[in-house]
Amino acid sequence: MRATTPLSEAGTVPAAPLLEINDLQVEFKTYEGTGVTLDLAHLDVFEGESFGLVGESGSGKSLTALAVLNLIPNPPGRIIRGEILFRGTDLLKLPPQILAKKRGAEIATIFQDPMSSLNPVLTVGDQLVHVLRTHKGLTAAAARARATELFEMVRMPDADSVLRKYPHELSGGMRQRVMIAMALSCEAPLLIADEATRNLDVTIQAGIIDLLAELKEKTGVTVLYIASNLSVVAQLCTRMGLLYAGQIVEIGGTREVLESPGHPYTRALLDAIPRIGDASKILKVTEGFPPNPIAPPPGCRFHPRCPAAVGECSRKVPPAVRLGPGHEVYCFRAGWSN
Amino acid sequence: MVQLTEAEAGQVLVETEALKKYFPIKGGLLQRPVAWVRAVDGVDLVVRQGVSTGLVGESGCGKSTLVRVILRVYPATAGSVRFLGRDIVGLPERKLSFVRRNAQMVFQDPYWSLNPRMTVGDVVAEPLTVHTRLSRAEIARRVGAALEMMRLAASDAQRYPHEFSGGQRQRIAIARALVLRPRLLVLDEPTSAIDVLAQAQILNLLRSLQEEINLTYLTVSHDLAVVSHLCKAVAVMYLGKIVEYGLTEEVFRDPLHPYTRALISAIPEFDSVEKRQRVILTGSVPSAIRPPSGCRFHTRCPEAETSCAEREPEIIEAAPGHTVACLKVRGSALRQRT
Repeated sequence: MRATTPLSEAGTVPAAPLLEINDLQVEFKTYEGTGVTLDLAHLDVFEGESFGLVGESGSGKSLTALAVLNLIPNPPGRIIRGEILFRGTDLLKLPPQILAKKRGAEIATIFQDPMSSLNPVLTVGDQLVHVLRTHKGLTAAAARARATELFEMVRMPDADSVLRKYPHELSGGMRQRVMIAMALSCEAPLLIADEATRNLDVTIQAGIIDLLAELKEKTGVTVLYIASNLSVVAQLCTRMGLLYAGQIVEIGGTREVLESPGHPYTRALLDAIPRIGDASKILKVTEGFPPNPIAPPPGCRFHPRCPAAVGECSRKVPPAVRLGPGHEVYCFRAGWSN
Repeated sequence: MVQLTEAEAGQVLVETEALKKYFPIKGGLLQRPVAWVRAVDGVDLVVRQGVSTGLVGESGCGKSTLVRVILRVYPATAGSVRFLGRDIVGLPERKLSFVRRNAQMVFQDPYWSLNPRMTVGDVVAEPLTVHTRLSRAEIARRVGAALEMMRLAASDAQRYPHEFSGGQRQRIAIARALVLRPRLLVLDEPTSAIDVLAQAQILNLLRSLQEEINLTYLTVSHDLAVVSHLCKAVAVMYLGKIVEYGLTEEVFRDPLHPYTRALISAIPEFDSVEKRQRVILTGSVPSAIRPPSGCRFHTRCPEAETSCAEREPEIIEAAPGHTVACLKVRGSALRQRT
């Protein structure tokens, strides 16, 4: 079962945001200079929802995840302003020891590359048991039993024998299942999945997507899903936000955004995706390439490539324009159509 | 293997017959081969001028190995490869220059495939300095032309690869492959490492080049949409064998092999948020060391019967130009349908 009803359609006003990001700016210092790489005006993820954050490489989507965990390597990166509220508490103001406890226990993460996130010299079972004993204080035997249970939950074939295997003995899909089991092990209310299906075959990816949707249904966990692939988010998330060069350009219910995109960038992205059996076949191309994250263009960061740009786009940062319930676009030409 | 109708068929560029490539697994004190990985296990494939062909399948199915054996990057274990009518399996390296001049390759990751210490001009000129005795001025002229063909500036020749974005780098890699004016371009996952907007630019460019300079592609990709965008014909591979072959449009519209159907149904679609009937394949691809008996797909096939484990299906022509290896597909029945 997949929850695909957008919030606006369900007619319910969602509960309080579990995660709220306000006016967050992350600065990077490099030999080329210093620049504000991430500049998030506002982003919220509500209790119990799946929120998809989509952007190209370098758009700041993984940086957002790292900021929430306060794991941005400093130097070169530094959070210069803003707040990240988790259940009303500003994570940026917490002492490091308290935040460290929240990581894993309250905010779990699935990183995109399971091979480099798993320890190659320990069996996956030992690694999972270790997590359960540290965070949950379980005895060795109880942790073992729980590990098997978790492996069955992520539909690991032959759970017991896989527990005794080393990461290199597993396929990419199975390693990703191990990562998901670990992320679920502490029953954290917020799960950040950073490109959880990247580099997997489509057949394996389909299985992982179904698994995530099923687990979401079963456990009610809130998911912040970070992806460069629109279609994965379309299948998993009820709401989504698009990032371009470190700024949110559009946010809203997945269906609204994909069916009536309001930002020229969202349109460009949708037009650029090749599809099977598309008769016309010539893809619409957006010229140029994403800006240097150290020196992004002034105003709307998409304006140098935007087919709808007008004079003020290069001078002022566009404000949020409301297109529908919960559907906002940061654009002076919101709703423009070509 | 059955070819496309004569009217559409150009000269045969590549023809393989019962082509096999086994890699040894060495073990024991003497490091003798104890087993073989059957990466390519009996492939008949024809690529004609003007009929760009896609190879699709999951990781480990042997598609990349197949194109490398065709280009003699790896020697074949058995079978034949004819390139422009000449068997190249047994030819000594010094006699292979007609292959190298007529078939060039573009690799997946332009961050690894371009030498960071060479200028773009030197990178693109290298095939010319190796294979021709052109004057420096002529080389510079051709390099400039190749770069311009890929929508880069001739003056970019002075710059270094790190100054370019991923999409631009891949265009540099394609310019290098085109500079010898080959007839066949082998593209191994040409856009997997690249963002959607840059991918659209490259796909459109590659499409227009087919007619402009009479180029044929042999494209390896796990992305069926990329193949459908670039290729007239497609071969679906599973565990070292081709299980279905035909015109891309036909194969994707009317897939005959259960594996092809599973591959197509696994593609996440974003414009139909509604649930689609998906064929989820259980487990991962079996080991190519000891492939399953009978039809190699029977262990994961949702439609398998007992006979599938016993008898290996022959390749039959189910419809004109559309071949499939599945015991459950009968040629005559299908011919009536089409």
